[in-house]
Amino acid sequence: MQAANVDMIDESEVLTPADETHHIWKWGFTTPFVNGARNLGEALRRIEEGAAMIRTKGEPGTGNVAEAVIHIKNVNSELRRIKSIYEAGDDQDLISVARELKVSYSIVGEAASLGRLPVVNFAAGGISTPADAAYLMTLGCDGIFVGSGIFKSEDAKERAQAIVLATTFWEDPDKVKEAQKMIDERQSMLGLDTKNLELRMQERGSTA
Amino acid sequence: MTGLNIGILAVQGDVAENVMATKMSLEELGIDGIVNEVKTPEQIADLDGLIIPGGESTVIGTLSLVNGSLKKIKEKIANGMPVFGICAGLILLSKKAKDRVVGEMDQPLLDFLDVKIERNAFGRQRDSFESEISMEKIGIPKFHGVFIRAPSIMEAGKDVEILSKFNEKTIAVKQGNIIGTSFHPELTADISLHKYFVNLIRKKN
Repeated sequence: MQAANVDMIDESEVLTPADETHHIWKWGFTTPFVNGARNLGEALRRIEEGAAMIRTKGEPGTGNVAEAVIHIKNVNSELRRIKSIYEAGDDQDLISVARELKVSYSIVGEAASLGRLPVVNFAAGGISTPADAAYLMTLGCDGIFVGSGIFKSEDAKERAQAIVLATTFWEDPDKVKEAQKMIDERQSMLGLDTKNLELRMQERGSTA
Repeated sequence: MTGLNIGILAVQGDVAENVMATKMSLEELGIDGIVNEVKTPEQIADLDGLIIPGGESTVIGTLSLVNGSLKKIKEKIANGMPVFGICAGLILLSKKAKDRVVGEMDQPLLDFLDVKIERNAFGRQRDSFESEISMEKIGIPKFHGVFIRAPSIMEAGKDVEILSKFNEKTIAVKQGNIIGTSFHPELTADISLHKYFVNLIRKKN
């Protein structure tokens, strides 16, 4: 893909992995990578492999945003925890966290001192309406990835514009309402039950 | 005089890094002021100076247009407010832009800097690079330039001062209280260009 001159690569769990035990060692490429994560450990492991951006995994293709919400809340609450350990100056506890998350002490220290991921963090997986996007922005995401939520809808153009507006002006409830009115709610994906799917994409590569 | 009110246009792009570099500049220069992310016409109305950060110029332009921010920025610049456009910000300040790959662009522009811009002048994402550059004319002989899918200035009118070139391409310009750079000064530890801009705002106020 780098040879094909693409601008960014998503090491996506939606594709069947060729290597089930390792992710790509991304430092070997100049094209930036984005990776999915369900929790802080996954996010920091991907960053240590060279990911330039992180996104929640969510549960793609379902139109159900609940999994993405769980993932961003996981990351946020773990970040709050390590930040408080950092502020207390308890290095020994930070080392325990690094061991628990299977990452280096230095990357845990960096995230703990910043109180956030050291790269941009997007919400992804199941987003299909402007309201979904605005809600995820309120949880502290830096931006939104939408795939099938737009591309598989019947009103793709209006929906794409509406989701962009809601993401940009998420702090303004009137603007989010206007954006929500731009789409036809009957065209939105129904929101599949993510607990009883035959294949949960988010579980792919999560232990590596 | 009360403190300076400096805004970083926060629609999309490299916002946090510019907030940080500008705050550090105020502190080092010992100038009283505040630095805020701005997104609405109301917030922009109160500014003494504005940085339009790097990002994607069509995105920043289109989204600033829909909520009336672009109009307010135009009004402020016309009244002499100093403005610093970085990469996408430089494109937005210009009168005319074309893309190296796509060709002539139909995108909202602020139409102040009398220059013609070539977007993606150095190539695509993976052609991004860093290099030492110089801006002697404004007292910055050495600077580390970070170029990310950077634009260049193809043509400049007579009122436009060329501040720097790299490989024959113009990469930094000044026209009155407007500065534009192809590269990203907020991504280096060197805040001399942000300090220069803060001083420009102070002189105006």
